[in-house]
Amino acid sequence: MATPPERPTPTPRERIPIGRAAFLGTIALGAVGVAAFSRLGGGVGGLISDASSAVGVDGIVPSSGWRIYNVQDPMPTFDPASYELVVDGAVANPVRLSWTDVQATPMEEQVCDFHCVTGWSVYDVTFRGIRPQTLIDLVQPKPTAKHVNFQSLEEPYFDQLTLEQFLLPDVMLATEMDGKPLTRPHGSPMRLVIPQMYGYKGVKWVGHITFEEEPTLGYWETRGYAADAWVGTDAQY
Amino acid sequence: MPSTEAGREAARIRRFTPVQIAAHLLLAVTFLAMLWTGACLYFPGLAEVMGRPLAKSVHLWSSGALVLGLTVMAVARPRDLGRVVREAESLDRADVDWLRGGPRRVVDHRGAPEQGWLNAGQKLATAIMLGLLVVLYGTGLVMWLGAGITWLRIGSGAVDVHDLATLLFVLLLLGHLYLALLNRATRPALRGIVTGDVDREWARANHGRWVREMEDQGR
Repeated sequence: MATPPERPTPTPRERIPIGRAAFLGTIALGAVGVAAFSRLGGGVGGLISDASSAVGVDGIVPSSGWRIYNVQDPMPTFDPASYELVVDGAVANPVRLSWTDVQATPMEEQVCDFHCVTGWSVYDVTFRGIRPQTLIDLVQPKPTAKHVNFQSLEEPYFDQLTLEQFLLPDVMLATEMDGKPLTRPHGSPMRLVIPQMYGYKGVKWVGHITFEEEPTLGYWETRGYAADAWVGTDAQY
Repeated sequence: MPSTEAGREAARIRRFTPVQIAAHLLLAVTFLAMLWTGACLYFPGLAEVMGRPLAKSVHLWSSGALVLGLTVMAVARPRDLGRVVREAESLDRADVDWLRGGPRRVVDHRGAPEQGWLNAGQKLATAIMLGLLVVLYGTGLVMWLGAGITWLRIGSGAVDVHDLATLLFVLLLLGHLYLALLNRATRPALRGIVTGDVDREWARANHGRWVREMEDQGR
């Protein structure tokens, strides 16, 4: 019987677990990253912001955990001299408020969370602004008014709430955020704040409010988003 | 008609099994689907191209399909995917020497230490990409469940890391595509992941130790 040809015994190869280290290291970095970005929103977020402007997606990741979305470039510019807040529609007393008028309107302050439909949240944001009831007392909606439209100066952005939603106790037309006037990316001079709904309902750069009898789909709602964007209840997002 | 050299000196040599090819194809298809739908969920401009409900459901179903498919393959043929994991998890001396060649080595293997079935660059890229996939699934799960349980969102940490991990994965993917499609020295490898076979002489030059081991087994 023929013996198999002699084969040199292969030297056992050293196995250095570098691949495993790279795999586990990547996962560990990811976990540390989640913790770091959550805690240090400002500092680390700013780094990403710089990086994102370098690759041309400027403004998507600003600091402090906020991401800025707009649908038209450039964002609207606020000019206190020419700004006017128009409130009309099915109301007894339509008004045009200058910026001085807006500032003279009674305001309240609240601390609330902001939830974006894309998955991020900013907690404990301080907003100061006009309560819906104050506006309603001013313009006297007719009994037929069932909806409120918010037209942004950023055409064609627009959204709508039912009158009932508009009157939720934590809704406001904010002019200040965290103790400072709203900045341009956050919708200066005025944005709608409705903490119980995702941020796309909170129209920025509000310039025109209309009380309506009929429902209309907002900007994102015509693109498949739900009209009632209640936070935490809508699995279909 | 018997050929004297046919068995030993076939022009091609089998590098990947059908299950390995299918796993790669599944990863490619589902990743590209997730990348596209993810972009539609991320960039307001693209959100108008594909609406959120459709984009989100394709994104989630693709992620499920990838896990399910890989699980079925791993259970049905544990050796095929197991081999990839075993190869990628450790390097030997020759691999470390290969890496010492620096970035140039990735595109040009001339004069490199002899490599096995996967070279050191492929091993590391595989390990890192698998790690990034775990990170993407972890942060994605937080984002998915965070739609209903907002405290789970932990601010923007999960979204930030999901984005960064995607960016890194895409950079590695672009390198991978360059090496597979454009780079003259490495593109013969493409044939392997499509048909299973690669050119034997190319393999001898680029994965010499593996070819010797195969030939010792009479393949």
